[in-house]
Amino acid sequence: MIAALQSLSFSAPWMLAGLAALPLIWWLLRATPPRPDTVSFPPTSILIGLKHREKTPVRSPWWLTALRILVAAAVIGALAGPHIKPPATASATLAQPLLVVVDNGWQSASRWAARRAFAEQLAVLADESGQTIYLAATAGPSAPLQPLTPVEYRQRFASLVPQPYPGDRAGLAAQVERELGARGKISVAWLADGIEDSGTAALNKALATVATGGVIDLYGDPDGAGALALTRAASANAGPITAKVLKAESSPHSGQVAAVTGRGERLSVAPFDLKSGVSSAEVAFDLPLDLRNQVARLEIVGEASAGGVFLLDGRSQRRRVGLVATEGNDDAQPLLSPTYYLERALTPFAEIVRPRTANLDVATADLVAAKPSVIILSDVGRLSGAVRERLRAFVEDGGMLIRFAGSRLEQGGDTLLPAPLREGGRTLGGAMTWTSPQTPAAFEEESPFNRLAIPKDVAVTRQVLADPAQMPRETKVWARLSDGTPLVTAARRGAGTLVFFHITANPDWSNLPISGLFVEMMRKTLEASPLQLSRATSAEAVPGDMQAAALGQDVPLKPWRVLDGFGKLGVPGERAQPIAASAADTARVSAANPPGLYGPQNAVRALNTVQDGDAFAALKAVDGARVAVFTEAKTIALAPWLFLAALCLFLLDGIACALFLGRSAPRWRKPAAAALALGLVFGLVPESRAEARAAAPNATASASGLSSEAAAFAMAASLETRFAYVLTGNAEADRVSQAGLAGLSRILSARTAVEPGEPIAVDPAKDELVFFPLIYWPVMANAEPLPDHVLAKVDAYMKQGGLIIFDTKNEEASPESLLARGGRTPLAQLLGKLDIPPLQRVPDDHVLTRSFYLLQSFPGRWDNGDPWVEARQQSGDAARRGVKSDGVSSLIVTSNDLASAWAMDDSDRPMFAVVPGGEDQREMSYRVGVNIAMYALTGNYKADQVHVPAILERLGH
Amino acid sequence: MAKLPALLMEARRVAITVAQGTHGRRRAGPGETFWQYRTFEAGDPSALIDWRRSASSSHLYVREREWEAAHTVWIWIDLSPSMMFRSHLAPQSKAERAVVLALALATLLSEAGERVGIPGLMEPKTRRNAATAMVEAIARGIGALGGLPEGGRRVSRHSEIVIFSDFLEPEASLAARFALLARQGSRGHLMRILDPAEESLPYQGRVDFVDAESGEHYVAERAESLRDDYRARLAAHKAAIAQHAHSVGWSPFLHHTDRAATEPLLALHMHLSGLEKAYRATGFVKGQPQAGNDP
Repeated sequence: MIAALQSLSFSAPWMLAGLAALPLIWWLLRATPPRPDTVSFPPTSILIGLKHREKTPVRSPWWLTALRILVAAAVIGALAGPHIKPPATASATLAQPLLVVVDNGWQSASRWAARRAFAEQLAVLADESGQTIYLAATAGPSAPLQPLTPVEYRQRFASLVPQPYPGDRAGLAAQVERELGARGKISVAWLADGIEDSGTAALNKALATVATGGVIDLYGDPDGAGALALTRAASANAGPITAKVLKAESSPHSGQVAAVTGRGERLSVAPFDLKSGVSSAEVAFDLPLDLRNQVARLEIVGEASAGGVFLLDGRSQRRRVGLVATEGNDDAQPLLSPTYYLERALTPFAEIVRPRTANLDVATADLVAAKPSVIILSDVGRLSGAVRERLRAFVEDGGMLIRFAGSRLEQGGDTLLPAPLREGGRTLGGAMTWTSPQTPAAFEEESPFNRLAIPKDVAVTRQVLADPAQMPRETKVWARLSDGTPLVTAARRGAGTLVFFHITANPDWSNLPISGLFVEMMRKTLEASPLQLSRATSAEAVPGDMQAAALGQDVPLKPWRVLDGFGKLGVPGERAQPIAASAADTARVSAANPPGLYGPQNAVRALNTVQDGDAFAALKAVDGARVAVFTEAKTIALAPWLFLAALCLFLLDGIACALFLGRSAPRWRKPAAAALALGLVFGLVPESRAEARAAAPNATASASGLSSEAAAFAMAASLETRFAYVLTGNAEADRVSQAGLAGLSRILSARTAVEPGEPIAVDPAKDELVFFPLIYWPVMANAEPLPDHVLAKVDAYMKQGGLIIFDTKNEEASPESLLARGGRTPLAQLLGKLDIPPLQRVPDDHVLTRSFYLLQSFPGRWDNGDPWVEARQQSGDAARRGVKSDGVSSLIVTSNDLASAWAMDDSDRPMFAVVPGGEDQREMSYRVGVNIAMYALTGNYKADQVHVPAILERLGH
Repeated sequence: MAKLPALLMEARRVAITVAQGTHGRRRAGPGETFWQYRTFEAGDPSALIDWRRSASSSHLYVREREWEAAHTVWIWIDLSPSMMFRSHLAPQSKAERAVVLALALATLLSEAGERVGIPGLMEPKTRRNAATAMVEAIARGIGALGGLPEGGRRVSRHSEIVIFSDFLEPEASLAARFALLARQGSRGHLMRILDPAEESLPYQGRVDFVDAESGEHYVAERAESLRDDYRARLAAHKAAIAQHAHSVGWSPFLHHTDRAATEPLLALHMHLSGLEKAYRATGFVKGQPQAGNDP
């Protein structure tokens, strides 16, 4: 208890002065009775002299006062910010000097604070016991082991930082044995990082030797707080950015890996969940290319150590590659297409851009506009004119142009090749030659393909030859056949590079494109290309060092930025040494080569802390160790609990006042106050929910966004199948339309299963059209042109499957004359503005002729000729439209005045005579109406009947 | 009393309601003219039998004459400050209710031909617009209408006096005043008007009660705890007043302002009429008609 009091501290102790005010609060609470309500009351004289049966004190009850003082005290105490610090754990006293061994490799970085706190505990212990301390760290510059006073020890430990490379336990073991081996009589505390390495056993042995009784106090992290590491995933370079999270300890661990740009912006996070016993998990970031290439590092969130960071460099970034093949897409035989093999080889590490057209001029223009890093031409012959100029500019701006040979190039090359070509190809092997197919020779030192393994079965049977006599000096040969003839040549041109494969990209000339070597060669080639082309920086975009490295020169890569132990990138210290470019892939981190980015700034190579093959396992049992866990001296802040207590007491006070002391408060307030208090206690305020519920119906009503008028129209139009006619502004025409559609509805009800409701008049400018399967649109000779937004609405209706009958009601003119585009008729003007497909006269086998009745003609009141409908099309666009509208034409154009023919009066008598055919024609016009209605409602299923003659004929056989 | 015209209207409405329920004074009573025959009822004095009429049939008939004696009814309204009290439970103050009742009674009585007056303010005369005259008299002499009427020559002998008040004065002064009035020979009817709040003490918590009339204060720590004691005291006060009234042969009534004004008016009117019937039948009346309901 005393210890607990001793460990109590305040962050704002002066607030405790407020406690002095408590007596004042007590006096105020005691002395102030509630103010009485004054009531005028005539029979007061009767009251006078009445004794109170319950002697209510003038003052508040003592318990209420106590409650309120408690609230005040709790608030004051909370404001003072009290903390409780548990006493230090290292409670034993020291009888002899202490050797503190600290693992300060990167593995301990993320938990460094715990180590520092524990080291402080040890310092306190040594201080109390009057002993000296030896401080030994596994990483960093080594210092002689000397006895330190606790003060010196604190200074030394404060300057100790985790290093970005693993500690050298074996080295430390040697030093301990050398310097302390003879001393003996020493206590040993090992602040371990929990990771096994090759020097552990040696250090264990050395410590056991110097420690009294061979007992080592080994302090480790609590379960579940072990180090994590991030390294290259096995499936690296396959599309998304990937990495592997490693875990040493056995307890489960889950977390997130963040993808961070060079400027420190977090672009994405990916979760990982390492179950118990699982030591690694892969994470992947599937980002768009533009974002992907901005990712400079991956880091485990919350794991601030060099091992928790995975640096990315140009090799893990993807390039945009433009791929041109003139032969078009041979979709039928993809295995013969050169682009097939190129795409397969490039997809894992590049984004491929294909031009839309085989027209080389357009294709290259498109590609250059897409700003790729690399353009690949496969089997494109001699370049000339604008294409060559465009590609030359692309290369000189820093781009890489990769070309493949082909039969066209056997006729001679052009200037955009690393070397002039001899005319005529070279065929190796086969019936007509002496030679046998050649295998590639081993790659030379300066080739970027250096160290790539060549499969034995790769052979080249045909190639184009560079003219050795004219080969310029700067031309590099990246690959040769075993007889010495160049297979891949490259040359700088301006700021960019020309690469030429003397074979085709398909297996015609060689089986190289179907070997794994081809993939690796393409990858190495792309690594030599710039990441992005920008004119402003094109001069240094592909720096000389990189180019030199790409072109095979082994230059040392100077450290540019290195990680510190906590995983922060910084300027390299003076101990950091360059790495030879040839060794960059295999280098391990060390004090001389800390993890970081090496090489010229624009073409850095990443050296990561944890690499393939690095062991990452939990520390094995240490002989003679007393294992303990770092206890973090966690301070417990009491302020929140005091505030909570004050709040609870305050609510209690409110409830007590409401229930027991209901003074002059109006009666309704009591339960309300109690309910409010209870509501606060249980964290809900019922009123607000009730309001929310009450508000909900209004919200839904307004959310639908329909005015009541529009809603009524929508209901009327959609509760029943109804036909609609467009108001023309001409009352007589509108009356005829109404009567005509009503008559058609009656005919349909009588003859078919369709029973439409009364027709509805619509104004396309105001009303919604989507409800109607069929709209009858009389186009009068004096019709006004429609505004554009109305036309757009009509257009949308037609494209979404509606059917409009445009009827010019014109006795003399046939649809043809009215439809003539550019004509001055209202119909032509209307249709000219709508986006409609080509029209055709209803063909004999059109569904309209057989959707209910079999029809040969489509008369109305007049008989001017057949209507026009959408022409059937085969192209994709029309096919899509056909799917949406079920093959139903979106419009029917007629001049036969259908509505007048259908129009009936109340006694079902026709209103207009039909000309010239009499009642036969009227019957036909009814049938036309029935067919159109059926066509609009049922779509094209009757189209099957088109095939009936063929089916019957087949059955006949 | 700016509301007097409105109160007059209300009084007329109340009076009409009551007049439709009873039938005024056009009824049997002491007078000269024949009013009606009625069949003999057990308890009627045999001297009242009209034998000539009875002889023509097998029933006994009694001959009644119309009541023609015009009585003088004095009306007194207590407009002291205590009457101005109105609690949140009542629609009207006691004074307003008293005025309404007084005017309505005056209307009823003047319709029936009685003389209505206010002691010291309005001479009792037979007039048709007694209510209007009374309003004018009240407006003129509003200052004089406090407490109970002064005993004196103003109130004539053998007249009725109806007093509308809350009778919250000390019992002793009330008793003395009743005795003084009774000694002049007038017969009193005490309409006690109380606010429902005065009956039930509907207050809670710490309340400072103030009597505007006397300026007395009483601070209650928990008003609700006083309720039972207060009711007991009020009941005792009521009983004492009733006792004093009975001792001089007067009749006490009780009315609460949250009840309809027609209730006490009907009771009062019936009582005034019933006096005559009782006079005819027994000469004097016993009993305490009570209007209004105790809560």
